[in-house]
Amino acid sequence: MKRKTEGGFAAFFPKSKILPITDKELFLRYAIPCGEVLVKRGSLDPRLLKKAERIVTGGKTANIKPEEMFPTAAKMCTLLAHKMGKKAIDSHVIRRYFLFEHEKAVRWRMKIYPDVVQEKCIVYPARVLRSGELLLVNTPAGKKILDSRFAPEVKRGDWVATHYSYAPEKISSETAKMMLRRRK
Amino acid sequence: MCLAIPGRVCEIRGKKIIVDFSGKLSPAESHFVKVRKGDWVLVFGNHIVEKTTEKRAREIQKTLRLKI
Repeated sequence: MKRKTEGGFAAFFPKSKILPITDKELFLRYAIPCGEVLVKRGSLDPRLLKKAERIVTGGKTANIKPEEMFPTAAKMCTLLAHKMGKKAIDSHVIRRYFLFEHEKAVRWRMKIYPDVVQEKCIVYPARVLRSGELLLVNTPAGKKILDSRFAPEVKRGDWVATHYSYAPEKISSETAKMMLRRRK
Repeated sequence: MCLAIPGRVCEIRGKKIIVDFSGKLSPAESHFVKVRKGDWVLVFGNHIVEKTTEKRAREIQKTLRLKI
């Protein structure tokens, strides 16, 4: 029998391939906000990011593969979908990931790289204090000003999710309260 | 979104893969790629999401220091 080399054993516990994303627009709403960081890292083409933004803001259906633009998020959603017994990344998986599970991974990273600014990365529930092109919102981490282009319809008193300086979407007060309870 | 951080596989203990992040060790699992000891990988929340090269890993480490 051939002995393994000193390189060590290959380790792999396959859930394998990225599952198809059935709600691409919703996935993009949550993924785009940190796209600028991926552009800075040199792993995302800025033109593709602009194109993806237009899908969300203009309801366009450009031919885009979000799982290739945002492979980490797509893989994390894939693992969660498996856990939920699903065969695709649908809106339930996307919301559960970004609103409830994502913060754990961010906090994990914070332990390794404490000097990376993490606050923007965390998806918070926020109450809208003032609407308009810029939203003034109250998050558990304090007041923030957000760009309203992904959620132009929101009004004072509504709840939104926050991610970087974006409001990916309006959320129900029940969802917001569930998120706040989880944070305690 | 999800920014994975670079590290290097330093030990494989069954399902647990120990990754070295510039001296800090942390366990991870790998469901998308086969890894071996010595491989450079990108990790997010205890999950190895892809393999990378040392060069790319160093580049990303630099952007992390820039406080993205």
